[in-house]
Amino acid sequence: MTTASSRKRVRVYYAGGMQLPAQITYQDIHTKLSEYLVLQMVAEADLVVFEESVNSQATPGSAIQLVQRIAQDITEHFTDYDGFVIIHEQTTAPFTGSLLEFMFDELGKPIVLAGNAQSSNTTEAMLYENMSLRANLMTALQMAVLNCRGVLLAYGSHIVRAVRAINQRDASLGFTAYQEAPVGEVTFGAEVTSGQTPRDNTVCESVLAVSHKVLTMDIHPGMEISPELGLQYDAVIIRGNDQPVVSAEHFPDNVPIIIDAQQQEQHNVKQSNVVNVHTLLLPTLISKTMIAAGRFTDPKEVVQFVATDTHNESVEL
Amino acid sequence: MIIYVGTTITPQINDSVRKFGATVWTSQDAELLGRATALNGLAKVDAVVLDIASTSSDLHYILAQCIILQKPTLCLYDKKSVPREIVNHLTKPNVPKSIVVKSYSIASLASSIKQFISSVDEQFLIEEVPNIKFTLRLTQSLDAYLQWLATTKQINKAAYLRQLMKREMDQDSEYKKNDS
Repeated sequence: MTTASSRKRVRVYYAGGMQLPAQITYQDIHTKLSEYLVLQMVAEADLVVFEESVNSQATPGSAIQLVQRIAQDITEHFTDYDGFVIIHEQTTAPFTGSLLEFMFDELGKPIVLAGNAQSSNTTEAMLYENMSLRANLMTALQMAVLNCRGVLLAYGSHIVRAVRAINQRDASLGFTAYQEAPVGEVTFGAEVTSGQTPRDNTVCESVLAVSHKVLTMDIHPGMEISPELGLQYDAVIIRGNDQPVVSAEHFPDNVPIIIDAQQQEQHNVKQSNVVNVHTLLLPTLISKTMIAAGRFTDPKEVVQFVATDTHNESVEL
Repeated sequence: MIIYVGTTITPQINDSVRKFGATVWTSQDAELLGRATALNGLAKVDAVVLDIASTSSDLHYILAQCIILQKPTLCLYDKKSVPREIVNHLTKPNVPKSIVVKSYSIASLASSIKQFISSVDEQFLIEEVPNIKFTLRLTQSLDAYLQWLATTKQINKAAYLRQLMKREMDQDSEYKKNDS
């Protein structure tokens, strides 16, 4: 059990994202990452490398299973550590981060994802690429012991919540926070910005069920949604901004349908298994739908969960 | 030369660094970093001076970034009060040579800092003797300001103006290109 006066402890998971040789072993990764923890300077760090994170042929299904395994491990070790860090590549970090956010109904400590910043053509970013993993890892360790909570992304000078993360695709910025202040900022030190919800070291409630079988479709004229989709998928997401939504008789009632379209006035479907949700960033929408479809079998409950703002994830799009 | 000075419990540390003409940045100077960057702000300084007896919550984080950036770093502690845990950490064999750990007394502080600065840039501390006469006419308000500085901060007016110009010269990248 950690105390205020004792050295801080962080549990660090490797979930991929490092550029590694093809024939690398679990032990090689463990040794490499131990060096990166810089003499355990920021916190006492325990490193966890699961076998499946070493596999360079990971599939989307195995990647989600890895996230579930990490979430379960966090739940089991919640009281033993001040915070948790996951080494993860940048591009899909908002998706993984959002999955984790919704797996925890209550999370009183920080889980921070960090990794190599994406490359850019600027000289500064190329210089930084050689040290970005180590620098971001230190930032993540620091944030993991500060007075904040929730699932955060630390890939540059702004540390943001995963469910509000916008990828700047520029190593100089990493992510920015959409329609809210970042949780933390790096200047010389790394600090939590004012107004953030403080940590609660006693709070951790997780539900780990996730569905892999979620279909996303683009709206197009004449589209049909076959009732057979309800036999193959646990949920369907229909996306489109300028196209009118298809009429009600084209929607089956045996599958949850989430419409992500801004022309809400054109959506006149009154079925209880259909909902229009256009207030979530795309990675957040997909991950939340996967969580909902894993938790509930009733399509009504799935769409209701997706439509309800549970983690302050809704934005004005 | 720009030196980042971390939170100190001994104010003389900041004064000593300034005395040698270095530009001092602290945690209050984040706006000097310009736009947000993936690089920690320490990448923009030439060296770092830290009081490792300080209880600042980000001391260890800043130290870790100094190690990653391989930034010349002077870690000072009052010899009367040794912060054992961090000193033991920093004296391990795999700590890079860019990290220097030194105890100090008030009497030895200035020479420790001078030695560190000259190890970072030998040329920085070579003192040019001012021997070119230059007459400058001032406005009343500027003269009043200089007078106030001389009285309240005990600064020689001419030395102050030379320091000001030297700072500008060091930061003028266009001049440096022409000069080389």
